[in-house]
Amino acid sequence: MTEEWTPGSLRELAFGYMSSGVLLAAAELDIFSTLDREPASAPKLAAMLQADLRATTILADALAALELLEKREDIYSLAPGVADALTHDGSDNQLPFMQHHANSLRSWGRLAEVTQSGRPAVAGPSIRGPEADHVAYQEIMDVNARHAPEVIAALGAFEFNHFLDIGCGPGTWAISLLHAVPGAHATLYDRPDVLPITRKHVEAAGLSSRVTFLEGDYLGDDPLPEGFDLVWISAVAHLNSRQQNRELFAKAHASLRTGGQLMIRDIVMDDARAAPFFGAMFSVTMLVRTETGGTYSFREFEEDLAVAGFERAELFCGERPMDSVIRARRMDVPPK
Amino acid sequence: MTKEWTAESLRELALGYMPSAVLLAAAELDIYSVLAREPMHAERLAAALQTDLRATTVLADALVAVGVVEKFDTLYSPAPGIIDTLAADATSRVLPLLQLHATRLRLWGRLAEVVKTGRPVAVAPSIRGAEADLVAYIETMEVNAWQAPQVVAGLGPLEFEHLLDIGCGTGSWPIAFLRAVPGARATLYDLPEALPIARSRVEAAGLTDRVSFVEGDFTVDEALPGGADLALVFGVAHQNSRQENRELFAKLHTALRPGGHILVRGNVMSPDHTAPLFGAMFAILMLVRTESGTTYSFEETVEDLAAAGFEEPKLFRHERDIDSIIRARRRDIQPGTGGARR
Repeated sequence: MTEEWTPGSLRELAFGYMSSGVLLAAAELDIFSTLDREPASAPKLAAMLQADLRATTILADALAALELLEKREDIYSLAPGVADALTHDGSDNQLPFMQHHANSLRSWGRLAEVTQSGRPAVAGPSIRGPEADHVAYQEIMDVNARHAPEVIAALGAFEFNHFLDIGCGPGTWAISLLHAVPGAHATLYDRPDVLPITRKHVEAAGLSSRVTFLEGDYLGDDPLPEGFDLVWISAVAHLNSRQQNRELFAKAHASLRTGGQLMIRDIVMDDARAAPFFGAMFSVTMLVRTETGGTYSFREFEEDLAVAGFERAELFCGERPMDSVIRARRMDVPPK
Repeated sequence: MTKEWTAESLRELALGYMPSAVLLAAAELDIYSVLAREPMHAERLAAALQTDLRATTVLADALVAVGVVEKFDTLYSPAPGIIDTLAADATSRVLPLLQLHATRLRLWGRLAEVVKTGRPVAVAPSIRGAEADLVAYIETMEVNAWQAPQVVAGLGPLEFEHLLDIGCGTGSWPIAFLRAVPGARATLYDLPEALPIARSRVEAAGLTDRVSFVEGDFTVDEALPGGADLALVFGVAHQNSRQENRELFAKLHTALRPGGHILVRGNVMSPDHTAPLFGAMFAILMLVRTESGTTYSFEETVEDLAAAGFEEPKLFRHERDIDSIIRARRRDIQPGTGGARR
């Protein structure tokens, strides 16, 4: 950034939350799915949303000002492209992402307070309730995993018989890995509140016969099963402190056969930690939403992997920041 | 409109709160003033701010990513132009504005809830405390009014003897009007808690002998101070419903001298309320902050003025922001009284 800041450019940056907040609130209210079923006037829209009329009118007008809605003769309808991305039945449904960020914005609003205390600011649930929020959060992983086949393909040919996915989430990455290596088997490990969603996805993919589910918390004391030739840890490392990652990697090391490999999919920051841009923003999300999470540079990952006994760490830079992959190998027995 | 949204462009719009929130939180913490002293490590910055080290590091790195802070090795310093922009003279001072918007961002986070209930929400004060928040609010109003003299000059030759400012706030606008018309006097009317600020500004401007102050609440008071030939309703109408505006305008009709004028300053929306964008966003702010406020179109304001007995409406000054001004003239006979027009 070599441009000089001016009051005008700084104001523009400062006001960025406004348009964003309007879009996210509309997603939280699910206005777009509602209007996709049928274009409506403000009174009708308010009735369908069970919302206040004055408020619905102001919000719908703001959405029209942002060109997310069209308004003709007092009837609101979706602008071109919106139905695909912001409705339940859309071909590229981003609603879970939007609904998650509506919650995230509430935490970010308390960033100054979090910077003082160092403790996350847990924002109250959305109007959709804590359960719906939990589902949205898991579904984001789904949305983000649409590129999984390309990311996996970019890792080159790799073979495994049986892999362990620690913190598997909804299981979308595991499903892509199983598709990439026919005949392989997977053990999917996550907390009891997550696995039901995973089971549903695996069943829908017709892969139940190739998958074992295992309930547990990788931060707990329970050892992980052994004998795998691949451990996959996707979008988990950023939830942990470096010390927690070292412990997690040591467990992964113990569950691998000699010669087996660990793959970590996550954001990998530059050494200066201010790039990639989304990574720097994501670090703030981890700050306001988790006790210990953060993003790490390759050098930090390499160090933590070495402490856990891994060798030959290498980085595959992803096209999207969250899609970088670090691969490391277990060459020997773990140091005692 | 030919714009076609994609998942990618919608995600970008959705994430717009992030750089904005980073900038605003840093203003709330006043990081920029601390870094202005000299480049420093995260450890020193955290010590100076009395903040958590991990959190301060993450925030400082995010500020670098946004481009408002620079990092050489591990030393952070303000990016070019930042300090001047934030701190400069009162006319372009941005820091209070950023501090004010740090609080507003918290309000916007509850927009979905407000749309459900239709009721405004209150949020906790910033880490700077409720009093500091109020100062930031007042300073922002002051900064927003910095172009008042220019705006008033742009209105052309003004003729009035006595102006009445309803909801005068910091007094910047009546001061500009008084300076433009030497010899005129003003009555400044606002809530008791607001008037001390206006008083001190008027005093500082050396205009005390031309100004009288009246404490009051136009939503409650039956009558407003009489005798004026020009009424200012500046940045007030958007806090009210249309019915409340009609009542306010009617009270002003009664208070004004025959032939007097009213000036209404605020966002003027397109008839369908979807432009300008800033006005639509301002309506959202009124939604989360007030019981009945929003922004209005020229046609709506004219209708409400007419209902209260004002005529010859004119869009006196048209801007895409809050500085549009509508002027109308007091009709001398109340509607419905059957009297002939003068």
